[in-house]
Amino acid sequence: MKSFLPLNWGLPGGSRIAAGKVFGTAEPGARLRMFQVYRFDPDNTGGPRLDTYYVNRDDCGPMVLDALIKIKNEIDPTLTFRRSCREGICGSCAMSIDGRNWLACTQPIDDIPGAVRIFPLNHFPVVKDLVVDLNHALAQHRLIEPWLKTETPAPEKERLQTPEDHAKLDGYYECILCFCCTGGCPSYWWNGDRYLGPAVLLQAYRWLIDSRDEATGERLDRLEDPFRLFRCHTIMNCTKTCPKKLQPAKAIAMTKAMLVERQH
Amino acid sequence: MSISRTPLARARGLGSAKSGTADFWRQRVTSVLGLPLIAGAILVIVSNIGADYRSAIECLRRPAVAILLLLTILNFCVHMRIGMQIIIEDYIHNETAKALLLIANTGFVAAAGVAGALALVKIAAVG
Ligand code: SF4
Ligand code: SF4
Ligand code: FES
Repeated sequence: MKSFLPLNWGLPGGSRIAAGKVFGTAEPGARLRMFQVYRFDPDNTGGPRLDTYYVNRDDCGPMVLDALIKIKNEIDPTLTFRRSCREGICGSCAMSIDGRNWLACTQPIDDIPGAVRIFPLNHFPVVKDLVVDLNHALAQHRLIEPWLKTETPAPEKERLQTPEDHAKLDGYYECILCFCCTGGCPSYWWNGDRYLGPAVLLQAYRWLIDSRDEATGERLDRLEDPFRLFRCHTIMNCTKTCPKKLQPAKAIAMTKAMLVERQH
Repeated sequence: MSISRTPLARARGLGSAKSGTADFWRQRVTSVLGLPLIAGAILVIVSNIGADYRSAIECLRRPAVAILLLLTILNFCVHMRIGMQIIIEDYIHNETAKALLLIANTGFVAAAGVAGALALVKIAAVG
């Protein structure tokens, strides 16, 4: 998915990306891959730039995150990004890779033709280099109260759920809150201050359909809003860009169906 | 120093409007009903191709045709109003401009709907 618009098309002055530095070129005989990485230093007066790194593919792990770690360790220690689990379970390393939001640790380098272009996760304010500010999105997650809510006193052992009821959560509980989907959602770009976005709405649905939860109606009340929920216009970008292969758009459609159901 | 609200306060904002489902449902219903209605309306137009003024008017005066066309106008006025409201709310972020455009949207739909309905009623009643 290459962008066919010029890099700085329509960007305001402070966001224009300048050509950056080039690190380490031709080692004779090495199988080199070119990485172009977005850089922004808040302590510097200059705007963002695109730095170029050459990485020896024969001396590097298979994933984009392996290359980023190699760059940081061996070429340029100032490169800043988030990562933790390096196996697609913590959600830290979400970024825009080759024009698509994905986890750097589950994106094979060899699946990308040509230069590997890496930018911060779409839409979110940049803190530094590939690190974005997720405070608002995480507060929206807090808003939906993502925990089991009950009034019935706790039983002696755990709260039980049939295997069938538990199976209903499949495809929803696996969300790792990487926000790849939310960053790729056009409705979130235009109205992210009020629209909750696909990641948070998928999480909300996960609690709506938990058979043990006693706050379903209260949860629906909280979502029933022209902006919080109904800004989703089923554009489906979210489902395309979920690295866990989940379907936030479906969860949102099912939530709307629940709201219709309680009206009729 | 400016003291900003906490992220949670900003995310919660003014709270949930506890509405939106009715418009969502109405938009779906008018989409579905719109299909047979528009098919019928096109049929009426096509069957009048080449007809002279008198026989076209006679066709529109038939109760079944008049009812079909009135319902089509009503259906698409409702659909158009909600659709345009969604577009305005998506892209217009200045609160004053948004309010003015939403009023204009309602006014336009009401005017177009009443004009269309009046024309049909006049044809049905007077010819
Ligand atoms: S389906 Fe809804 S949540 Fe997903 S990208 Fe489209 S508008 Fe956003
Ligand atoms: S739904 Fe998928 S893309 Fe969205 S936050 Fe969850 S895991 Fe990430
Ligand atoms: S490092 Fe944990 S998801 Fe990539």
